[in-house]
Amino acid sequence: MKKNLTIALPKGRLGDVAIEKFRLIGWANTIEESSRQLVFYDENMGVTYMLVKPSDVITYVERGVADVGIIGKDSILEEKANVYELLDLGFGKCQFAIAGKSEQSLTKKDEVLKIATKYPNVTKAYFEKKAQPIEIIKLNGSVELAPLVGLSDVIVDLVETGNTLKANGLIILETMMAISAKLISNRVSYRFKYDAIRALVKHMEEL
Amino acid sequence: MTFLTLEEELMYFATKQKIHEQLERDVKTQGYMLIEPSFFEDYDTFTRMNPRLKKETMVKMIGQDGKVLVLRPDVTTAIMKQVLPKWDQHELKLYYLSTRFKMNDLNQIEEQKQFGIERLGNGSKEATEDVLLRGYQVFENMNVDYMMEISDSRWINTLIQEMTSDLSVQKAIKNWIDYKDRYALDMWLRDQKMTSEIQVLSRIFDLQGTMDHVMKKLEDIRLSDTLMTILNDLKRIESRIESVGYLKKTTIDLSMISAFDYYDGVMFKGYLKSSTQPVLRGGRYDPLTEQLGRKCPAIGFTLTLKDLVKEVFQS
Repeated sequence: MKKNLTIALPKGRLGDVAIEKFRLIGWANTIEESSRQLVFYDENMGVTYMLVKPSDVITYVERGVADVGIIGKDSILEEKANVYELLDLGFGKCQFAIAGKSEQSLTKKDEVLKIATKYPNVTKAYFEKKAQPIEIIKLNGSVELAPLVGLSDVIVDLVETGNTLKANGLIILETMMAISAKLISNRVSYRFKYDAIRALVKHMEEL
Repeated sequence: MTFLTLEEELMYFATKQKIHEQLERDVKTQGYMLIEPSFFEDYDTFTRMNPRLKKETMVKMIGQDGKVLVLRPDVTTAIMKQVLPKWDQHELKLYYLSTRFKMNDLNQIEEQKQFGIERLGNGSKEATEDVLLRGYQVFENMNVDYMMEISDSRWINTLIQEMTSDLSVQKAIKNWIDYKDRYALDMWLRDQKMTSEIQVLSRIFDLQGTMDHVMKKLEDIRLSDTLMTILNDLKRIESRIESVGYLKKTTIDLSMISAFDYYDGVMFKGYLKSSTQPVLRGGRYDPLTEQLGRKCPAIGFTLTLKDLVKEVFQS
């Protein structure tokens, strides 16, 4: 039976693992990773796969251009995505952490703690529960540099192995929360294509 | 919407006008009367009554006396405040074509024109079913592809209140369910003592489809009388829907959560294929009237006109 589903996958490492998982359940066979093509259609199953920038997966799903998507919990939190989080996929595991030089304290009595991060919303939400006033400095990459050159006191970032931190003389000062990849769905698609989406979730669950 | 030509734009407005007129005509023949509610709400009262509504989405204003006001985020609350003090116990059928305001993600004020009906002073099951079926009829009359999702707010509220009296935990559980986040919910359930409520919650996302399907999923769990009553009420509603031939357009979803906490009883959401959000929301909301100072049976729904007009215009 044709499923009539559109799936948004993130380009890059997370997407590669996702494609592997899809193949294990007999899906995603029309995707050619070596190709520069961005859309792959599987006529037999009636499934369209779109390869998009990781930070755009949520936009595609929220807008209903894609019915479902695969994306890290970090993006869901940062974008405050209004989608269904149907399944934890168990890969892409890492954690949000506050890192800095080993002598750095996270409580600076009357002073403002300067935090460099790619995730201002996550950072803001986390520190709202603390009494420490903060200033967020939004960066787009190489966040580890910020405390080294005095741009910030600490950073908030995703940490997987901790190797990058170590190489730059930084340590984890506080772990914030665990992150992994999720299968998300548009709220309206979920209603109209419930059977197809539910079947996909079940297949993935059984992996 | 953006338009390429003036002609297209005027056509759009003509469609919009036609839809407004038809909606008004349909409810007027059923005895509903027009009401125009006030624009402002008291910020403190409103946020206290709707603790899960995101504060950053409200459009705030400061009055001359320093009081913080919100541009009405919701028309129903505004109407109740206006009507209840003068209500004389008789049944009232009201409708409105009003705007509500919302701060969107880009920090712009969004105006959303809403159409809705409210039926006050009649707590009967017939009145509930009648308002629900009016919701179906909006879509049927417009000839659009839609789905209606139905639940009862007492279902989840009862389950959660049996387990914890901690309001912040209740709020967290509701949020997980709202995002259908089975993973987060399971993590929390894992550490709880096994009770029938926990059993039901662990299956909450499977309780969707027809009532037959839902009952099957619950058949091995001993449910309290309160929960059984809710299921029986929903069954009755489902058979009423079946009798008018709308069952195919219906899903019972016992994991449904409403953004507004004032619903108490049947609640429903209508979806259009082209929309990204439910376009119709409604339900029984007697507790809201009590919070506003006077308890009165009340049920209604509200419809986002833009989405409906867009769907009709494009087809």
